Amino acid sequence: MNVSSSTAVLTMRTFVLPARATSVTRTATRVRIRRLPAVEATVRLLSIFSTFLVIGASSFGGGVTGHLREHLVRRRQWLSEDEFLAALEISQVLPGLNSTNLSTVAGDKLAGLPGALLAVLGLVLPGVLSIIALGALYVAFGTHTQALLFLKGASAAAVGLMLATTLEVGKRPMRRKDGVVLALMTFLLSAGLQLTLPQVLLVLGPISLWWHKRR
Amino acid sequence: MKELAQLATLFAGLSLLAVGGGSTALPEMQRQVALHGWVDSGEFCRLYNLGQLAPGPNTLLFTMALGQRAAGWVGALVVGLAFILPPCLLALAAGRLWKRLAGSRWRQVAQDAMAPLTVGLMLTGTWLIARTAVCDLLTLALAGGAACLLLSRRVSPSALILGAGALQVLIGS
Repeated sequence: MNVSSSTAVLTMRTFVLPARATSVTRTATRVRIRRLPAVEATVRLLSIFSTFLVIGASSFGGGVTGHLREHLVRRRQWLSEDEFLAALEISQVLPGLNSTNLSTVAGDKLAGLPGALLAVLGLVLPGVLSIIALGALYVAFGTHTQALLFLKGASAAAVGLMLATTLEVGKRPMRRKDGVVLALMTFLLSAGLQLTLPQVLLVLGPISLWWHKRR
Repeated sequence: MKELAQLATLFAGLSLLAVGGGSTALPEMQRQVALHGWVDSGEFCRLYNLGQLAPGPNTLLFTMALGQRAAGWVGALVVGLAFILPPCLLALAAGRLWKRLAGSRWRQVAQDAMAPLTVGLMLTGTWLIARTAVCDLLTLALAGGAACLLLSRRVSPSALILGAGALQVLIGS
């Protein structure tokens, strides 16, 4: 009785096992198909947030665009040079801060609306926290020479960063002579004659469009 | 409550005025916050410098400091959101429109035509900052050295910025 029942169980097992095995693999693949995108999406959002948090925390003295390019194009390789340039163009033409505009466009491209929200939040949060901390220090100590000295050095290096970023972003558009001419004319009109951005676009936009349409 | 609504509409309007970078909206901002009796011009400059000390998008942080002076921390939050939301929504819409136009010849022409102008505008931005940030031999050396090191890709930007700040503190003056 005992023996027969155990053989019955055994035979049952031999029949059941393969079936069970397939059902296990089936659920496993189903789980993989159903759950992993959610996990992946969360990981992606977290890495977007943390990346922009690092950019927001380390970009002292300006040049945020340069930091954005370093992280998004070089380190993470989330955007190609061309995609970064396109996003930068949109950010510059539209009103608002280049850095937050650029983060919105990049975040949206990476993970839609949540990506854009987390990108901007990450970029701004370290600064907000340090403003709170600095404000408290400011009330307590008044002027802070050490901090101002630090800012002086950081801003000088940020000028170098901005120049390097300009040259790197400009590498492709400046390959042609007309690109160099247009960039220099833009600089002269905006820095020299101090025209506003809409005025510069109104003067040079049609010329540049006409130039590029002929290619 | 009325004050918060005033802050929100003022800074939402200013955010759309900031064409070509945040600094273009500063004169009007200074006038308006003084007119409302929130922040006088001396305090405006002090807070501006405070904003420059923080990392990240300085102009936004500076507007939040203005909001804080005008109406406390709720004011800071309201001003921050009002100043950032309109342009970001525009950028979001423009980015999506741009994506939808992928493959169109006109998009490519427009993008290529804007590229040299973007480079020129970045150069102007660099120049404007350089005029105040590069004021003696040491800052000139820091700026030049930073550009060279970055172009040769020997160092990360953040390490460089922090290093330059620390060096200036060590040397003093």
